Parts: sequence; C-alpha cells; structure tokens
Amino acid sequence: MSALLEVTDLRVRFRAGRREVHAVDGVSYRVGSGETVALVGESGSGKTVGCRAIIGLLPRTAAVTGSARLNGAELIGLRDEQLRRHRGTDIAMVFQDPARSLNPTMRIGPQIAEAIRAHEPVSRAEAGHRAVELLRQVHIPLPQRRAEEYPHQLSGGMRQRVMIAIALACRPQLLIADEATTALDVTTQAQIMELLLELQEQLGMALLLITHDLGLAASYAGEVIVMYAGRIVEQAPAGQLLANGGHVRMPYTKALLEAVPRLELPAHAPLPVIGGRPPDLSEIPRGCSFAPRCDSARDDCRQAAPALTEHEPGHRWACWHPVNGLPL
Amino acid sequence: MSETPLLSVRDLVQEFPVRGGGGTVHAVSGVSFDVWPGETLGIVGETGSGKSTLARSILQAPRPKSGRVLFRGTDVTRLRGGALAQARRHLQLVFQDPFGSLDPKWRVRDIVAEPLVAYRAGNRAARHGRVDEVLELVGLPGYGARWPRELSGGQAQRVAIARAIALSPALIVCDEAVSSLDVLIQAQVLSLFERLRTELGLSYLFIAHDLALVKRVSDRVAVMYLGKLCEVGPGESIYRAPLHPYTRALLDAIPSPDPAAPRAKATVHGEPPSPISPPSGCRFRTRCPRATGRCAAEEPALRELSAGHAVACHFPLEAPQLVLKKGSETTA
Repeated sequence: MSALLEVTDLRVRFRAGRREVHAVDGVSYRVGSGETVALVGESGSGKTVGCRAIIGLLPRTAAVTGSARLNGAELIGLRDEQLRRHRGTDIAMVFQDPARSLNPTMRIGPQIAEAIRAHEPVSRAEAGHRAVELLRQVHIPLPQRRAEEYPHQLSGGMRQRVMIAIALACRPQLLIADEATTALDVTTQAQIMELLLELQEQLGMALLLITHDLGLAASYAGEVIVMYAGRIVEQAPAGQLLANGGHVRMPYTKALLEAVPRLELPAHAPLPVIGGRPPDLSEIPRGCSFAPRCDSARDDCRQAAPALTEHEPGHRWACWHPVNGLPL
Repeated sequence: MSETPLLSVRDLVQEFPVRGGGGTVHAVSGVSFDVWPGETLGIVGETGSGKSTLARSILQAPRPKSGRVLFRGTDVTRLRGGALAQARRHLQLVFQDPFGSLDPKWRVRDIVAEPLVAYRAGNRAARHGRVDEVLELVGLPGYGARWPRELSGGQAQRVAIARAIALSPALIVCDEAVSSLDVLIQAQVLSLFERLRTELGLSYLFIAHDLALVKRVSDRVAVMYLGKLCEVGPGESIYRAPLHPYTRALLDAIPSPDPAAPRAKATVHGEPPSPISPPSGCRFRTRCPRATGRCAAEEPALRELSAGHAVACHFPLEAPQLVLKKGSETTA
C-alpha cells in the first residue's frame, strides 16, 4: 500500500559557524490518506524542522537530504516554484502564531482570496465569494462582515480559524498543524480541534499534528511518533502506546507521559523527575542520545545508538533496555 | 492549618482606562479569597480572566482600585513607603518569562543577592552565604558566576525562584511560572516548588491557565472568569464534582493522554466577552448552556454548597446524574 506521504531517512543540518547542528538525523515515517499522525517532542526535538524541510520552508543555510514523497512525487530538492505548486494544493501548514502568519495590513477576505488565486485561475469576485464560504466553513460567525476586517480585530482563536480557512483554500490532501492550538486557551483549543476533525472528515485529508502535548496526541492521533534530539525514538498506534494497559517501551516516552499533569492524581502527588536537558545537537553523544538522562542506561547505551526497530507488530522503538509497560 | 489566613483578599477591584480613551477595562471585579499558612491556592483562568492583574494587584503593583489585601492581618493597600516594602519582603512573585525577569547584564549571584541588598539583609559575607545557600536549594550550586545568557529556560526560572526565596518569604505568587517550559523541565521546576513548600513551609498562590497543572500542586483551586471567581473548592471536588458550568467546560476541554478516555470536547462555544463591557448579572451567561433570564438580571453570589466548596451560579451543577436529566428538568 502506498502512503500519501512517505518520509525516508530525512536529515537536516545547519551550519552555525564552525559547528554543524544535526536538527533532524535520519527520520522515516509515513502518513496514509485521511490518517492523523502526531509528531510529539519537546523544543529542539526536530519535529518542526523536519516538517518545514518537507514543504521547503527552511532557510538556505539548511542542508536537507533524504526523501519525502507525496503521492510518490519527490519533494526534497525541488526548486521554490515547483514546491509552491504543492504548497497549498497538496500540502498546507498551520502554525502556532496566526498573528505572525497573517498580513496585518490586508483585510481577511482578500487574504484568503489571494491564497485561492495563487493556485487556481479564478476571477477576483469568484475568489472573494469562495473566501466568505471558507470563513463560514470554519464557523466564523458573520463571515461576510469578518471578511472586511483586519487580523488585529480578531481574537487568537478567530485568527487561527482564518489560517485554517487559508490552508483549506485549495483542499489539500495533507494538513500539517504545527502547535496550531498551543497558544490558545483550552476551551478554544477544543473548538479548533473539533473543527479540524470535522474538516478532515469532510475533505478526507490527512492530518500531521506537531505537538509537545502528549494529551493532544493521544486524543486525536491514530499513530504517535515520539522524537528526541532529531530522531524518532518510539512509534506506535496511540491506543497500543498510551492506553491504560498500553506499552510504552522507550524510557523517554515514559518520562514524557509521567510528566503530563493528570487530573485524576491527587494534589502534591510525587512528580517523577528526569534531570538534565536534551543534548546539544552539534555534539550528539555517540550512543543513545537519551542515555545521559536515562535511569535505565547502562554501558552499552553509551557505546552505540540503538536503531529504531519494529520489535512488536506496529510498534517501533529505539532502546537497548526498554521498560516493561507503564503501570498507571 | 492555623486560625488566621496568611493572605486575605477582599472585594478586590482593578480597573484601567482603555488606551486611546473611551471605556474602562474591568480586569478584576470584586474577588475575595484566603490563603492559609502552608497552603497552595491555585487560580485557573483563561486569557482575559484577569488572573495576572489579580497577582499584580495583590503585590500593589499597581495598587488596586478598591478592596483590601490583608497580609498577616495587615491591610497592605493602606501601607506606604517603608512599611509597604517591609510587607512586600514576605510576598514574592515569580513570573512566566524567566529571561525577561533577569537582568542580562548581571551575574546570577548579583541577581539573587539583589533583594538582600535592597532590604539591607546582613553584611556582605552573610549575603554571599545566603546566595550560595539558595542556589544550592534550587539545584544550581556553583552557578553564581554565570550570566543569564548561559542558562537554559529551566535554569533561568530556578534563578528567579532563588531570588524569590532569598528573603525567606512566607508566600510566593507564581504567575504562569512554568507555562513556557517544556514538559520535563516543567516537572523539574514544579517538583522544586513542591520541595520548597515542605522544606521551607512556603505558601503559594499558583496562577495558571492549565487546570490539570494547577490541580496537581494546589490544595484548593479557584476558577476565574472575566474578572470574577466562579468557583472555589478543594482540587479533588472541583475535579470530581464541579459546580459551575464553566468549570465543567474547562474540564471537558482538557485532552487526556489516555486514548481510551472520553475525547476532549468543546462544551462552550465562542470566546469570552470583552472586559470593557462585561455582561450584566453572571459574566458567563452569554456562553452558558444553562443560562436563564435570572442570570442576566441578578448577579450570583459566591456561596458555599458543601464543605469548603463554593460556587457563584444560580443553577449549579449538582451531581453528574442530575446533569444527564437536564432535559426532563426543564419540562417539569
């Protein structure tokens, strides 16, 4: 079965003076048509850089190698104008900060219309009508009137809806949501996630959720990919990995999961604490990059990095000494 | 718990004129609560709830428009100059942005020593000793000579905490103090707060937008919406049996890391109204599924429905089974 998006051995390096930063270090995964996949990790794990590499949104100082195929067509190495044809039509991306992605001097309606006209030869008037329709589709009240407003007149949640409307303008097959709800209040986040799921169903598009929030990943994704220091360290269907009685194998995933505040735990419940912080990506240790912070690390962990291997059906992890499930 | 609260806030009101003229921002509109010695009171609120303004008004920066803030029985809103400074010494604040609160041109040891110098606490040698001691306490021994730029976000927040505890305060107000940190670093800083609570007998007013986070460290939780408290109670009862429809909506919206748990859902829609023109009566009524004419006409008072659990709602949720029967209730 061919995937909608197939990423193979993706690597992204940045030159920073004499140092070379390995932001993404050999990442492979696939996203099927209509699926929801979550890329989970902390700041600097490479989850965002990897996705930006796929759609060509990295600065020129980035050296990208490997392959990312969308419906079989290679995206890595394409020239800007070739990529632009994919961006918006096949793949669209929604970011954390909608205020910075919108043009502050342009009314909402024309911004959406411009996005439509960048990809489709339609008249200005037709694009304008479609823009209002899209605002309606993302449940913006009084879409006709909102189309006449400027971004600063809208709340954060409304602006994110506008970004989603722009992303959907050309009915992409894959929507990448990069921390799209992180800056929003939780009640607004729930509304935006419901909107994304509804649109996903209507349009049959796949969703790649980039998030630091394991709760969000568990709630909305079919497949969860955990990244650390530029590599995938564990991957499995959400239920298999995180459900009660599920099996987290990689100690890093376990640490992440235990650090999530759980409503069902009593106040002042002890917090399992992992010391240290992620490694400097210009000096990744020889062995497992999590070893310096890992309780189960032994000598072999510091000698050689474990490969990401499918140890159980559908469940890949990269660890020499996996943990035995996680009692909750 | 002892007989008198450490901090008593009564009918606190804070308002600002709208920049550019016209209207008033009603940021905090009559908030009352107590923090007892050794207790952590959590305040949860979303954007525009007024929670940060509340924190600053308690510290008299700026002074509240009206209301009282009793710290160890003394109304600090009436204190000026040296007397206010003396009270403030036992009341410290830790902010969200760790770097924003550290002067980049100062070494860590000078940042931590600053309140000691300002309050002329001890001589130079004693201050050095105290700085080393608190840096050790926050898990940064030997970091005195470093510059802020050499610190990670988590370390910078520890320095801010070291500075806050240098004068041995009784109460620390944490305003989104871990919100900008990655989850593992957040756990490190939270467990530091917890350790200092037990080791130093500190009390906290722990303010954040994340209810799960607030509940984790708080004995009692207060829920704030558009400048008012809508519910206060023990964290466990807030979670197991919320009384205010807004609290229910907050709980419903939190995604669980267990995929088998019910999916987070948006049970309230839209966004809070502007604090420039808050709704009459109950401020949540414009988004509340239970609102009636009474909610617009009459402001609900915060009243205690069960031990220590108070709600400001004319139609509080009582038990889950009653909520399910809501349809039959309205026809009856």
